[in-house]
Amino acid sequence: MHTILSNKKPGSRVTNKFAFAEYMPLFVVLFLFIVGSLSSDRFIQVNNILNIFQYAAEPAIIAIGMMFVVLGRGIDLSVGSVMGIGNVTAALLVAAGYPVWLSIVGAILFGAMIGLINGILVTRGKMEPIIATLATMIGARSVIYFMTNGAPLFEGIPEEFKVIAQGYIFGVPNGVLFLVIAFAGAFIILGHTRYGRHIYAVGGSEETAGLFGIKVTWIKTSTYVISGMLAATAGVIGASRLGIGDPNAGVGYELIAITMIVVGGVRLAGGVGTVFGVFSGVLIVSILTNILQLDNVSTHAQHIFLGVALIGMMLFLSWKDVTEA
Amino acid sequence: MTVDANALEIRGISKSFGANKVLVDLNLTLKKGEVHALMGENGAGKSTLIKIISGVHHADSGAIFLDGKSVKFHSPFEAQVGGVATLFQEIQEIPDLTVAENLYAGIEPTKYGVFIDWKSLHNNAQLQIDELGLNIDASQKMRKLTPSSRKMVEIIRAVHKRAASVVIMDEPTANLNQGEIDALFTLIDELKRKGISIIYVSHRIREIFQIADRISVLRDGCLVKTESVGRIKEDEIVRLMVGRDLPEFYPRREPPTETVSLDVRGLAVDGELDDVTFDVKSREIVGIAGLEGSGASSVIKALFGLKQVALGSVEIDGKRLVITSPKHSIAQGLAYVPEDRKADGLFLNKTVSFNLTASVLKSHFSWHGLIVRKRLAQVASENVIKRLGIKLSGPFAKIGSLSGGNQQKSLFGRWLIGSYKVLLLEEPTRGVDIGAKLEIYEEISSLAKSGLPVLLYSSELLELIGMCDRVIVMKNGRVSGILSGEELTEENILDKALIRDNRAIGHQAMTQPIPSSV
Repeated sequence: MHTILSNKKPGSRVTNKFAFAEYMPLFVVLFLFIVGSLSSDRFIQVNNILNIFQYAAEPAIIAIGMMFVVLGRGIDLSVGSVMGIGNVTAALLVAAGYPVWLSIVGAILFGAMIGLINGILVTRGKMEPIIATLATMIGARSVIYFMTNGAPLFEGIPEEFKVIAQGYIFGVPNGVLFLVIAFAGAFIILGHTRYGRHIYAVGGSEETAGLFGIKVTWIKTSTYVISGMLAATAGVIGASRLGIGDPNAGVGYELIAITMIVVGGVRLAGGVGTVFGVFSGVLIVSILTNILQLDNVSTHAQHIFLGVALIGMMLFLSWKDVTEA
Repeated sequence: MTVDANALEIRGISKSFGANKVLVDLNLTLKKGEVHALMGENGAGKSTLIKIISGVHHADSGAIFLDGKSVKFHSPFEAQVGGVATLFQEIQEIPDLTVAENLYAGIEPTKYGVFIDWKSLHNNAQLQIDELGLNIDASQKMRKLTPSSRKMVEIIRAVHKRAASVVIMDEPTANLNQGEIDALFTLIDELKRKGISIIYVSHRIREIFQIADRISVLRDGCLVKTESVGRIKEDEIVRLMVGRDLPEFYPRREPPTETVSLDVRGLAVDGELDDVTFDVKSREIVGIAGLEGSGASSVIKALFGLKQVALGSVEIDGKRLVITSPKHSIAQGLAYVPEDRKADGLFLNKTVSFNLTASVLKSHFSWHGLIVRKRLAQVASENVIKRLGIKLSGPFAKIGSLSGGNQQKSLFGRWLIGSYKVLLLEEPTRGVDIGAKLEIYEEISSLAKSGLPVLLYSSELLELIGMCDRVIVMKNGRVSGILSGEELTEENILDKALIRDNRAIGHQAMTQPIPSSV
């Protein structure tokens, strides 16, 4: 009797088989937690964990934008420079006495504009995404130096701007809140809206997506705009956190973002990747960095570990592809 | 249901690609609720016609009327919205999304106008699949399904999701097993009842007699005949599909020797070839014929090491051929001219010399395999250029700048440097003009005369008949016949290539169960 009761209609539900590969990033996170606890007694303290999340906020927000672009079979190298744009734009505007909200909106719109340029170059201009965004990456950084004369902006930044990233809600740093909001938003948009699913469709096969009536050009362009907006937002958070407008903000962040999403299982060829995976990827990179910092490993050497993590994940993914095919 | 109303009317459609006239003043009418089979040899213009109706190509002249209204579609999606759904041979799908998502992509049901209603999406999708009696899990990713299931999903999507009044199916049963073919035919019957018209392109005569109401035969871009299924016989269809004269320009051939040079036994490639056995004697030219999907185009690729060979043995002059990679095959004496010369055969932005000697640089023109002896290579390639009459615009002309004929000759010339034991040719004259064609034929012929066995795959039947001593006809991945001498005619090749009822084999076959997989 028991078996009959539990007998489900075959083929009507998602297979319950435990998909080891899907949860691989989670295992890595757990593993790093163990390694962290063993290597330093400071690791597992509440403050340190909050610290990890807080510092993860900026690269994570950029990684989410990158994820949108990569899912649509693109790549956005300009995110680091756009982060810098967001950073100095916000700082310059608040220092010039504009209201904080307006300064933030201005910074994000600037990022959106660069994203739109990327999108148009890729879709209308039929450029390779890597080349188009490399060009805007270089160009945007140059614009930053023009805006700031290359010097950091220390003065005139009001407290109500700084409090955005420096403040706490219920004892939790605001940065953590931004991280959670960004992931929740990405989860809803990519997993549960037509727009989000259409990004996956476009990344999976542009031709078929077009045949299905999905507006491929619009979808692709919009992912670059989202990426630009999120990168600029990360820049605003960075400016607020340090209370300075830094012309070098975001240098190298494009590579961190790509590392995060790839370690999180997003396929660079488009169409495959989950928000949960990217969240794990962000944690892996952030925790790894944190452990290395606690253990006083120099910044130069830290990148070796990141590189190894990246290679390890790529090897795992290609092994997974081979075994699944 | 008004049977006599026309769902689709094609008036005077013409289409050329360059100098090549593919469709000439073609007229075709499709009645409401009928299944209209479209038949013709490879290159008769069927695919082009389908592509024009579905908006992939645009006709040079003529008009298309859908329900009496003139229409002009600019993309397959526009056509779909306008009521013409097309199932191309290649499956249109997004492999990493689920079956349900593929079915509803672009028309997903939503809650509050924003969020996808996953529950109704999956339930509806599963319901539609279950209604057809198919064993497909709607929540499964497309890439995990078998090719046949993927095709069925595509069919469901195309006909159910958009309100199509005309459905075009190009070889829909190519990868389906008997159960799935039955499911498809049930679906087609249901569509007919709803007054939906179907253009059905297939090489399988059995299916056509089972499902079609009328048959149109195309030849050389013209409509030869449209007839009701009841009033036409199989052999008449075959006769209508061919019926051209053999031009006189094929070189005179000398009889081959009796020594077997290339001996292929039981060659098998998963899903493509099964138990392919034949031999090629020295000085002999053997052709391979077969319709799309028959496996004919895979034989040479399998021999050359471009396919994963599952079973079989191949011997060249009594020595066993070890098939691993193209490089290894070349080393063992195989010379190969690929079908797609731009993608597989030539370095387009390099000189003719470079292209001629690329594959033999190390073995023939180098000092201990390390340093290239350019001068020697240059001399050798100049000889070939002279011998084949390749026309260059200058000594350093890039091969990409030459005409198709000269490119093809260069591809050929590569195998004149060095010594080879077997020549494998795929579509050696595709896209070249008549003059270059003749020269290539001469060259093949003289290579064969010099003792080389030649295996030639071509979709042009006349070329096979004109050039070959024997022709192997492929069907369903197997050899369905080997023709030579008087038997070597277009009718006979097509007869062996077309997939027809078991009845054709004889009365005894009637008692046998119909094989479940095609």
